[in-house]
Amino acid sequence: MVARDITLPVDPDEAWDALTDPELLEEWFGDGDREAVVEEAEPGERLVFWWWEDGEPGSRVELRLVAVPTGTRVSVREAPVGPFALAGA
Amino acid sequence: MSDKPDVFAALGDPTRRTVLREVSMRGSATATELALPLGVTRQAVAKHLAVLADAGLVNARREGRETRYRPTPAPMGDAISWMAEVGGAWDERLAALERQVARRRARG
Repeated sequence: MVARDITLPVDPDEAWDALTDPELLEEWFGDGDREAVVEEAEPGERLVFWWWEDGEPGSRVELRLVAVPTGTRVSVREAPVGPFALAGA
Repeated sequence: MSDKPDVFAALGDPTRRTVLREVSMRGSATATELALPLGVTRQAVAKHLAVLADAGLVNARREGRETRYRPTPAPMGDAISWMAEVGGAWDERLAALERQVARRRARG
């Protein structure tokens, strides 16, 4: 499991836009060759998706947004679902 | 435990992660074989491979004038590599996201 947390100096709605707007997404994300399936999307709160590359085991990504006094806390959790699932959990 | 920081340091460089991925995908590779597809000099690839070998992520074997590298088959090593690689990718993405949000705010 990989865990990263950052705080963006904007409110959760704006943070959500930055995370999910396709045009903005392309600017910061840049993983063109991956396929992804969205499991859950609660605007301004939570985005869960599964993604994988051809021939590689996939992983599950959960992004959580929480309003904090300085903006929005963005938490990223990515966990493997393939052969590393046990060791990597 | 003591070699973990080496693994993370070795995977901290985007080009090195690409080199490791190429070695893993091909099963084995020499610096010469990777230089052209990666668009870097043979010497640069050789340096990256040496760092990966020091971290225990690839095995080196002399083959004539060249050194051939293979990915190290170690389940726990794989998991650590996975975490380092995926974590490194998120560090880059989140840094880009922060820059983008800052740019948009500057524009108002």
